[in-house]
Amino acid sequence: MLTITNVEGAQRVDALLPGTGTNNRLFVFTGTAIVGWRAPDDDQLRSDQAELDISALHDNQLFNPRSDLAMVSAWPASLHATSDADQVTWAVDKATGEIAPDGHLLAKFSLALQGASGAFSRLAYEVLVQALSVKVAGISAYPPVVRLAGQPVTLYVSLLLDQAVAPPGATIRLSHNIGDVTLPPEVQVSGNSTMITGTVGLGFPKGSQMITLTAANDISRASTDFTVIA
Amino acid sequence: MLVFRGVVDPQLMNVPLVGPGTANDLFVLSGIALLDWQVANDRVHRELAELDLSGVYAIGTEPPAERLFAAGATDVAAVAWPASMHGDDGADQETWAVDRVEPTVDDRGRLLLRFFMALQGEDSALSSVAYRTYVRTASVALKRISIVPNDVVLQNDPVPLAITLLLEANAPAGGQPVALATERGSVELPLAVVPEGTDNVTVTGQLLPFYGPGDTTQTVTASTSVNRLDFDILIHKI
Repeated sequence: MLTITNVEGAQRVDALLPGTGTNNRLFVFTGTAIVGWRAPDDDQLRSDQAELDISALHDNQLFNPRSDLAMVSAWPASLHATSDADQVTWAVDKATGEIAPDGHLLAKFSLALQGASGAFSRLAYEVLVQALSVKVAGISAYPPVVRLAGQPVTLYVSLLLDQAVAPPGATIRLSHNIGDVTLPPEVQVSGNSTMITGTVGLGFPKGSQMITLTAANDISRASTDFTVIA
Repeated sequence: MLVFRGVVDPQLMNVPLVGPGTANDLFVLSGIALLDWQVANDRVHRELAELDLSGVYAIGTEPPAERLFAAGATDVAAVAWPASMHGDDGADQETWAVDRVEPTVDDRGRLLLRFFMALQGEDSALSSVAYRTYVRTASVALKRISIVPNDVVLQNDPVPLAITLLLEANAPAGGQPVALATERGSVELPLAVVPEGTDNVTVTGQLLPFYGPGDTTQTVTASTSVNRLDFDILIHKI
């Protein structure tokens, strides 16, 4: 297995396509991968594999292995030959995309090289992913009024998506504007809804305050308010 | 810097979007850009070449209207690779490379691709590079162009032109650049930028007195990333 040591000019665009359906988000990833594959001093035709973790290159962007589709194209970008060779070959024989069970997007390449002291130094690639386009349809909190009387109060938060999602689900980020509220920073939602629990702590000043909870992913957000009386 | 001598069969696809945010267009641009790059020895030569995609994918002809993008609302991903290579048995070492490609939208709203390339080998050549570029942007179409005056008696002095441009919607983040051009004639035209959050701008051009005697129709073209509009000025040269 060849090791890709670096990527020059890794670029990304994502787009939300119109129309009905659950896979309306298109991701495009491009770059030039440094392979650095050098042939020894013979003309034997060699084949090898290389793999690139696209997710690791782009802020750990994860995908859903059950619903998302990846397509990879690749071309030789930097080639070297010497006059010692009688036969020269550089080839990208195969390029495929795979979404691993942990959500990482992997580009896999089958390469070939021939020619004494020649090199296959770089590979240009393009990865398209048709991805789940789930949106947060709503968020609600219970109880709507939390009365603090010497001990923390459990808060129930329900999330609603605009469509059902197969496991491992869609990642939804949670946040709140102010106050001593403990919630997980993100949750994986399978199906089209989930209920999570949090805690309203005692760190509120006396009086009444309105807290805003927000659930969001890259393409949508929804908010709800609840009141804390300390 | 190397200069491309053209693009073979430039192809453009425009896909409507509904986001994220204000993004409403995805342009896919592809082609094979032609070079005349040959080297005479076995040293590794490195060169940069820049391709003006706003010009290559101009809207219409006579004149070609530049396709300008709002830099603050545009994201680009590009890929490029060698497409035509030549070697010679006089060389001991041969290299052909597109080491990386960098897309940018410049201050004028032009979409540029910069190719960083390498070539090695006596009498070797890198004659073309292939590319594909994905451009996500918040396009705003032009609704109207008007120019005052539009019926000009031209003597020996330049005549200022007030050029007002109206968009179909407010300009996106960073403002919407609008290209102004003429097929021929003598008109000084500035680059117009409709400020962010507004839908119009007025800029000043200048009609120069370099026309033959008699009546002439001078067409001024305005364009954004998605459309062009033409406006005719009648000139009576005395």
